Amino acid sequence: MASQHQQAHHFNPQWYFYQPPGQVYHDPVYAPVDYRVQQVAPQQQTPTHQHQAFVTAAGFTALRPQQQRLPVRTRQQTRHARATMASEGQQHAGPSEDEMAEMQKLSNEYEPEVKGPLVGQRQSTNNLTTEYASADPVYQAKTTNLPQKYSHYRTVRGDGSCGWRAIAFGYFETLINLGDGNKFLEEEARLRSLMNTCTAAGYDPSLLEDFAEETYTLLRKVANGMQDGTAENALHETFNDDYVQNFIITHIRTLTAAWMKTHSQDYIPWVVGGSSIDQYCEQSVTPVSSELEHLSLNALKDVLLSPAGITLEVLYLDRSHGKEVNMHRFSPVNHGGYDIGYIRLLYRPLVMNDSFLSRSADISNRGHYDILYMPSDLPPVPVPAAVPTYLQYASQPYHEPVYDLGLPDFMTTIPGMSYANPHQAWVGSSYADSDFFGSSAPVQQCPQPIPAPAVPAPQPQMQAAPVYVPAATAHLVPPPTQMPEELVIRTVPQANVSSHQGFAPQSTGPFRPSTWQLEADMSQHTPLQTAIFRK
Amino acid sequence: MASKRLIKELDMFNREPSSAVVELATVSDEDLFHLRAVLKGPDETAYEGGLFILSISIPSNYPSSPPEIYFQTPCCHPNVNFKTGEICLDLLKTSWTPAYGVVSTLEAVQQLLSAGGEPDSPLNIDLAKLLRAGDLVGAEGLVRLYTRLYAMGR
Repeated sequence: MASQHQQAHHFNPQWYFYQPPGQVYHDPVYAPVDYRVQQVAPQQQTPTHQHQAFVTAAGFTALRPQQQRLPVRTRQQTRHARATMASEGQQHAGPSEDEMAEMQKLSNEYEPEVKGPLVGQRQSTNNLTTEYASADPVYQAKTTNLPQKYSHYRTVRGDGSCGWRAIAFGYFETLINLGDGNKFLEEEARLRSLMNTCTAAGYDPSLLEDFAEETYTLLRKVANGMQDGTAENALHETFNDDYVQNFIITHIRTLTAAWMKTHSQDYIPWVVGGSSIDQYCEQSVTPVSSELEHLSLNALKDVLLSPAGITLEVLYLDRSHGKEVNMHRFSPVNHGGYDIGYIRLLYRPLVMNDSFLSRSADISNRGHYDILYMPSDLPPVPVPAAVPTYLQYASQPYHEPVYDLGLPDFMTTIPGMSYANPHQAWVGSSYADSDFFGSSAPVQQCPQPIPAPAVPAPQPQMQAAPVYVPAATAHLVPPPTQMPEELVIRTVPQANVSSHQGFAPQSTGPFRPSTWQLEADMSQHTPLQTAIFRK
Repeated sequence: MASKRLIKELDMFNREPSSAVVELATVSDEDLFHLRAVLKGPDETAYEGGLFILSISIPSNYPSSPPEIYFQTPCCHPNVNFKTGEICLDLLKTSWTPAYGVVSTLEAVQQLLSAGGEPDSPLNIDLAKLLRAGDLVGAEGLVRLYTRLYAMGR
């Protein structure tokens, strides 16, 4: 209650013109606390009107006509203020103005101590099981089952930005795991184009540049690191540089806010308390330590993850029934099933109880996000040196230098596609009857259509030797059972075109025109999928 | 980093002046982190014609933390402390985002003046009392008086 005052008295120009229709903020969790606050209220009604003094003085709310209004942002402040009241409220026999102001000042300046690195190292989820070993049975059961599916996790510092940081980190990590250098360029271009959205939303692009530049720099740094395997270290280091990670988080916060403002019709139904999208963004998205909420999470997913083809899964470790953590998946369904990887977050909601409140520790967190990994999310473990001798022989191909090209293993099985000299195979002058197309053996060896690996620049050569195409077609068509029917009945020239596409250098995944050209259209079809919001 | 960003902002201000901010410069050449601004009283309000001097100090971790802005010219406004010049604006406290700059923050302060303020959480109790009692004429007269007294005629 008290924080309503706090919220309202920091004047916000936009609210001035806006009178919300008496919204009541319903949250059963807070109900008992509210009740208690009102009980203490009368004894605190002093006639002093000093600035700031009233944030702790709950009685002041009685003077306020608009006490129904409690925007989302203030929840954490509410908790803060309540925590202060819980510990200080009873002592207020009649403190002077100065004392009250002093207490308020202390309370305002109080920041819970946050520990740990900004982003930790990946560790086994068995540690989580140990951590909860003495917790209540629900947590015990859930954390005991956790390691079966999710082998590792990574801690993120709980300073209010943990959700944002976890997703930003996961975004880069997923790109690294994808292992495609072109994707980094693609993403940089896409993020740069989003600057227009920011301008449209009213942000000053020349100020945003500084923040965005850090993101681009990291994208490039990580892309370069892919060559010599230092990408992960570079990422981890960067995210532990407070200044830089702050800039990156500011960048994605602003992108999210800009996206919400320019697609307000998608998000307005979920804004609590009758605020506008602009207000929501100012309260819950852009401020430096505002937490990632469900709505901003959706928007962040829509702007950053979905167009990149990244699926977000949030696993809720809470007191609900069941033996496993509840998973909610935010998949990029509207992007043609284009899917490059997963970000999995472990969400632990704040436990609201009295002892917690009076301790008032860690109250800036309404919940906390860490990063989770399934075994399949982990980067391939490099073949360790200490393998028995006979195995070492088998692993020999991994050490060939050309492996850095990122060619999948099976490419070696195709005659003419040896790692040693891939270019010669493509450039061969007698292209039409080269081994690659002439022999039907390779087609049988790879039963699926070749999933367009990132072959280094074969296209010019292919265009230079168009003669080969008609001859190739007949051999190239895999067994009919695996072909889409339309392709089979196509006339020969059309089939040629499609076979061209199959071998054109692209990012991995099925061919699609562009990741981001579709955005404007996509956004209209993007439903907010959380079950949470339906409540 | 903070100084780099400040230089950029000042540079931008010099290239594209703001309609709200008449002047923005460092107090001394040696110290980039203390600025002085002259804010124009918004037109068609009781502050019209006034020029308000503000002192701005930039924290070392700017832009992660907001600048501290105080009125040096006494300003009669329900959310401005008449004596200390403290401004009650959520942008300067909880709603700060690094995507704002000094100039846009000053513009928000001007908006605060033109919007009339929030008399329910006042820093200027006398003015707020008038406003709460509905004496708009009296409040406006008071504001005009102080604007004329302190912010005009230099």
